[in-house]
Amino acid sequence: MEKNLLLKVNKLECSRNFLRIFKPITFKLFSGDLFIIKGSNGSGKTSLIHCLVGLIPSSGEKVWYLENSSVGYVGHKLAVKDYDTVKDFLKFWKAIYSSKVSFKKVVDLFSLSKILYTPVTFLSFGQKKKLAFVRLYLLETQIWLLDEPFSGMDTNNKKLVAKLIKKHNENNGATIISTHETFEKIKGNSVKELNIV
Amino acid sequence: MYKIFLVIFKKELKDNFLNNKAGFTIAFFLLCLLVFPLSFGAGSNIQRDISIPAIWISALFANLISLEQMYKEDYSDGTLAYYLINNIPFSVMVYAKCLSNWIFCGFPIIILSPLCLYVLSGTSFSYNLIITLMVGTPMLTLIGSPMAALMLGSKVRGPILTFITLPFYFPIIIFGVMGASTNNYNINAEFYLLLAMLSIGTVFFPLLTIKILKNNIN
Repeated sequence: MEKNLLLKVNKLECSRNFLRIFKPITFKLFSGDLFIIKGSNGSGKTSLIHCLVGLIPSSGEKVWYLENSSVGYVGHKLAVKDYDTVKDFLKFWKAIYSSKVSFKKVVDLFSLSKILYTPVTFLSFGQKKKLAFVRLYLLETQIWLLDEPFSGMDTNNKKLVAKLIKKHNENNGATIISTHETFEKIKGNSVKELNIV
Repeated sequence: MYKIFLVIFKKELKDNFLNNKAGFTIAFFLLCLLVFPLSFGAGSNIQRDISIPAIWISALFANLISLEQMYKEDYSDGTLAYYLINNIPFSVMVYAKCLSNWIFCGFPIIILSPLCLYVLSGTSFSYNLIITLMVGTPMLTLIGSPMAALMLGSKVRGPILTFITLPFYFPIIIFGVMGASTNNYNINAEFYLLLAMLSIGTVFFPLLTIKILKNNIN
């Protein structure tokens, strides 16, 4: 499998209120990589991911090599509307992304058929988070940035997410994960780790 | 681009309809209007003169009330952040939001205004009022949009938003009331001015909103 360079980060720094959040970071991301960002609470994992997607300003070099320049992201805010049903949610984001993934495939893959007509208010946090992953899946992008993807999920959903990530990486994608859990479920061909201080 | 506009616009219409935001705005408009005849008492001639300004003032306050929810929900649940990350054009989103806000908070006021005018003053149909409202209410929404975006991070949004937005509404209400008042038979000047403001504002205020929103999301 040929490896393409997807992201080049050189001496990326982020400061808020003149306070440096993490030390300058340098790494390269190739397709098929699983990149795990580790660090204690408050060390700047989420900030690094926000820097990478461009939500907060950063200094240093950060170059994306993508065909369509949008990246997949799942963060702490899940962006699900309480009064929507699950079906509305799927339809809306499918139309927004003009996604080619079929409706049935998504429903089967994430086993949503039971909650398809349930308003999101009645769902648990884990189920809502699963919906955020559904949106990620609909985007069909090469790179995923996941901020604490396993928090609040039960064993089945954790397995599902791990499976998704593995499949995504096998299809020439790359994944960046921030987590402080150790997990052995994902055994990709190239797992890199980054400890930020 | 056009497809995304339609999708977001439909979504906004549905949200507004389901949340009863619009109903609340219109109810506030009518309630605010009711205060004026109550405060002047019966048998006073002043009512007839004050009815058009009363409608304009009520429309203004109703719009102020409706502004607060314009971007609030999308901001707090992170939808705006997802739009930004996934390169969904913000221009489209802002126009869709402004348009749906006007459809629910400005358009019903225009429709109701002749009836309100009749109930308040007894004068019959006034074209001037409808025309000025038709140009003025979109302007109220457009001016409010960057302000609503500006106040997104703040904890005490409501009062500050009202406080900041109100001065910018002054020109609209000045020319609106001047253009609509019954003893002014030549409305052209004010009408043209309002129209000029609207045509500049349609371009300028969404641009400003986009700039503010992009800086405000984190």
